[in-house]
Amino acid sequence: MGFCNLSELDRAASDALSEIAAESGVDVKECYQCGKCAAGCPVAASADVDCRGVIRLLQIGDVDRVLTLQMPWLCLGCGVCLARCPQSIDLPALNTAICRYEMKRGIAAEREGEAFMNIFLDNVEAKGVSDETMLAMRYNLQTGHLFQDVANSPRMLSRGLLSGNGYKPAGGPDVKRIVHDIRAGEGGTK
Amino acid sequence: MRYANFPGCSASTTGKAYTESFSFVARRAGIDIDEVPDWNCCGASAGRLQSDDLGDALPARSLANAEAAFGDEPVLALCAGCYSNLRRALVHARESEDRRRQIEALIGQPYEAKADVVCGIDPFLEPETAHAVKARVTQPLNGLKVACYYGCALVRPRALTDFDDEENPQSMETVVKLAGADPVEWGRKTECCGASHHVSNPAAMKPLVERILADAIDAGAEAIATACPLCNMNLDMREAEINKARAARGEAPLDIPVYFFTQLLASAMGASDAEAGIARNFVPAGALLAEAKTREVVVELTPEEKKAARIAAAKKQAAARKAAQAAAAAAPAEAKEAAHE
Repeated sequence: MGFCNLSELDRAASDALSEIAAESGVDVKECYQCGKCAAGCPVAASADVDCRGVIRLLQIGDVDRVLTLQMPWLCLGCGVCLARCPQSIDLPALNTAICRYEMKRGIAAEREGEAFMNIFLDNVEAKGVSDETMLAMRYNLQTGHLFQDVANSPRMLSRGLLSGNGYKPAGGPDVKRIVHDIRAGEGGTK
Repeated sequence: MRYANFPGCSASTTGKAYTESFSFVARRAGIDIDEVPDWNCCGASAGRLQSDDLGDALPARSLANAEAAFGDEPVLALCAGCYSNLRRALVHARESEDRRRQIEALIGQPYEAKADVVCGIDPFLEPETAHAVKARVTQPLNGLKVACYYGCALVRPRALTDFDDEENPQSMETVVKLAGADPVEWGRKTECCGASHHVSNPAAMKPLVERILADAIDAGAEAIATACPLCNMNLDMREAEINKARAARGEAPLDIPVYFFTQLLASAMGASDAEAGIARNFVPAGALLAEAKTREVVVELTPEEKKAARIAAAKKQAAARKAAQAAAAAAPAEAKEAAHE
């Protein structure tokens, strides 16, 4: 990892850490690095820094590094970490808070994750339900992963798994208003 | 038992076979279904990533609609992702009066969080329903070895889902036994399959799917049973591409069909492949069930049953010996009498 000045890190990071702590309800000082989280994490092997490491970096104040990591975006929210943590640290919530912190500042470390979220919510805002086909098409185009799952589409189509029954809620406009207002940051609390 | 069904966006798409097989079983097992009126998308992983407000509001609107129409009738969500999100809104509203009011304000409707939210396995844990299913099983699966795969969202986080054990649940096992299947014990019952990344990061997701398939086979399973459309599609649809990659690495393919647990119930209750949605499976799944139904049932006794059987056999032998002795004692006496005459 090289040399780092803990006092400087601490000073620079305190605002970011406070925001992430408030958002997630997690106090990283409670972690004593036992590693049960990373041991059970299904994506730990694919992660640049595993979840135990992410908390360690936050503990020493290296927020800048955390904000470049893939790990918070890799987190599936499966909850094994929280289920096993002897201190009941809500790691899924912490990872979510880190992702939200990045998105608010336009510095998402994984553009695919942010793109997926936005396209999904655009669909729900417009229709009240999710449309897999539109989602896949728009996502592939927007991210440039043009051929993702192209081989699977005909297999899904022939099994009747792509086209739904065309259901849309009559209260679509209500759903639109709810989603739009919250995304625009109006009237919400968190 | 009566439930207000929340279909969710997957019910008529990736979850079609789940919906079809569940309906088949429900009609024959006394499960009555109302439909949540004017429901909307629960938000999947996107809503709760955007904000806590959106993560609560999207599911809460549907719950409020269900409450307005059906009061405290439990809301049933077959999709584990929907179940998780609906439970999130429910528990947040129940835990804090302030939050409940905030949620009402966000959705612009009253919501008192009266009704419980249950998952697809729950109805079959009611003794009456389990009994009704068992009574209608005419083609049991004769000990078909099944690995019950719960995925992560049904059992975690415990604070929200309040359903079964987070590490080693047993509820689906008791349900598939109703169909005559024999559940195996294995270690990846609740390990996430990665489906929430199936669009944004499929590369990270595939090793998770492969480990689940491989472990189920190692544990002796002939089939995997699921209770979530996303998990099911992930394991079933992606088995082929995983095997392609394995072939390229010189490894043997993983060959195991993946069923919704309700497909196993429906089939055992006499459903045709069409009625049980088997034609929608990616890995061919009809032949295994047909074959299982023709097997001879091998009854394995528990140690207690074996001991009781030994004692009963010993008693029977002792009684037979005594009867023989009595007969032998009586016979010479008769012979003597006969000899005297």
